[in-house]
Amino acid sequence: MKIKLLGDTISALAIIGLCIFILVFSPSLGEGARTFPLFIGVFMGLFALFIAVRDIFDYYQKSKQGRIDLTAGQKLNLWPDIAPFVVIGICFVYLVLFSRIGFELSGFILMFSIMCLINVRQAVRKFYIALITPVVLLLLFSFGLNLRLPLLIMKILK
Amino acid sequence: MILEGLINLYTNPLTLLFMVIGVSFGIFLGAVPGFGATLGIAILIPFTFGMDPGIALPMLAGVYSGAIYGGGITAIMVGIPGTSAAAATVMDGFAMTKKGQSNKALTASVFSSSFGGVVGGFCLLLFAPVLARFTLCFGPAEYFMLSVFGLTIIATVAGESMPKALIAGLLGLLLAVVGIDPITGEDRFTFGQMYLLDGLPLIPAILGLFAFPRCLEMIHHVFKQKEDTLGGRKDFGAGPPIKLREMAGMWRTLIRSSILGTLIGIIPGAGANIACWVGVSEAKRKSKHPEKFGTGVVEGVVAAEAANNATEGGSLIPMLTLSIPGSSASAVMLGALMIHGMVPGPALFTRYAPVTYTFIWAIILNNILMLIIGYNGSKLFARIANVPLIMLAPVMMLVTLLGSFATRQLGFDVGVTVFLGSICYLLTLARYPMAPILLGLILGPIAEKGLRRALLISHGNWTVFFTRPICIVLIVLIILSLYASIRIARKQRAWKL
Repeated sequence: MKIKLLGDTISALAIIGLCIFILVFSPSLGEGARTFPLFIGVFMGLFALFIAVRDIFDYYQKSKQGRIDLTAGQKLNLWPDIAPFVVIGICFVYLVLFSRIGFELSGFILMFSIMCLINVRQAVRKFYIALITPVVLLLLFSFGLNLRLPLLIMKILK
Repeated sequence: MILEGLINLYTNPLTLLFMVIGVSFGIFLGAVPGFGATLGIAILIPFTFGMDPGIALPMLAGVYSGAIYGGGITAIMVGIPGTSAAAATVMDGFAMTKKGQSNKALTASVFSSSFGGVVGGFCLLLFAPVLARFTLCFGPAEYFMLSVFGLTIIATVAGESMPKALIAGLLGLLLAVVGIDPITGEDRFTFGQMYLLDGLPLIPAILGLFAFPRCLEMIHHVFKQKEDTLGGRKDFGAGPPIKLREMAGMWRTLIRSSILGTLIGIIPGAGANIACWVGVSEAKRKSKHPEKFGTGVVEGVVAAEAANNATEGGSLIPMLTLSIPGSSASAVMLGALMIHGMVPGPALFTRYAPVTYTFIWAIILNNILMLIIGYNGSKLFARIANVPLIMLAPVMMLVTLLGSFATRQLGFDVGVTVFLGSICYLLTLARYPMAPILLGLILGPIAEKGLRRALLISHGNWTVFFTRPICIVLIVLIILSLYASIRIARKQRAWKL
């Protein structure tokens, strides 16, 4: 309950921040161009404010009634909850490497690191899968869909 | 014109081949819990970019049909619905598997899914052109109000919290604002990025909204479970298949569930997950032995599966005519139509009629193909429960990132998917629905053009939105939908207490 309310409030406050940015930035646009962003910013801000106020009020009321144990949070299973964010980090690394070292190698790094992050068992099998999958996708999309991917092999040949 | 679409399908073997691929891919993705039709269509859209729409759209329709049926496979085999649309199938389907009748449940499921899909498809063929003709009376003010109605109705039913769903819709509208202003030509929120001048690229955005967060959720799920597979049973499709006579004996349930499913599909946001429960509860109410439901009666599987597949045709009726999708999968289908240059409305049934009717006939034919593929491959598809998710999730992630690169072949688009996908993952953790964001992104330009053109025509007079008859009807509908959702939320809160 505590974490749910906290998550809701933080997300609502982040959206209010976004709305403030829109409301500050939009007036610098031309007369017609700013109408719609201002309209969106005002309404989104109002809804987010409603959520934030409701949640803070809810939290205050429940803690006053003793329905929320302020000392004990929800038991978090830390690693599974953090893992998706590590995967996001790996995707950003892939994004940086993609055009520099080519799809075959960056694809391999992405797949192998995600699979090993989940579970390090059968690492050799995972290594082969991570090696084969980008090659299969590469062949499929290069020949099937005429997709030009940045490739390491091409860079080496050049 | 209608028959031309059917001829197009039969005379092009390539279309049929891609439909078979689409249906098979859909069944596979539908059977894997957490994936489903939305992800399947989202992932395939980039690869259809260079294709003829007459081939691409039937294939995507195949994914849609296949995925809804596929959700029932794991529901029957392991008691875990592949998609929320198959939640009601678990009750009797899994009970039948426990009794050693999994093959009977699987074949009954494919027969009823196919029947429901065909009924939904024919309803789409009959009603969509009529409703599309009605939109000819719409002017800019009506289009603006229609967009607002579309957003409010999907927002009110899409998520557990109405304000969150409305914020999601507005976020979508905000994303639609990025790029060159359609009337003055001024650039907005591009931050000096020339790749954003044409607006936020739709395909990377769709992948960021639906595919990327879903892959992360799947990875999170695998982490928590600490298991490579769903732990499927080893008796892949035990027992004989259902007999045709037994299936025909349930014609009342089949027809009732199919019609109910189509009607529920038309209601934006309601979708297959509600239809399957309504189908089962109606079948139970009409049954002579309602107490047997849940213990492994084949009628329970038939009612749920016919209803959920019938929603496909139903949900496409408001989508093709009014740009209001009935479900998140049809919202992604709407994106696919736009990418192929087809704007929903009357033009679909006049200028683009050959492709539109090919697409509608493909929905019907896909369901027949699904029957052939599903019936013959039921034992094979039952093995999907043993697919190692630890391998599948990273593969889907790589395909998603590759897909975002495919359309414009720009690394920038991959960045859009990763960045938007990360934000959307955070939003899903805070339980914000994703479908309204996509709808806002698609309806944004229509809404903005409608708003500004109406104000230009009326010389800045805002009363134009409150005086025209169709606008008044739409305002009443907006108020009613908001009121209904507040009432439902209050009732749900009362039940919880």
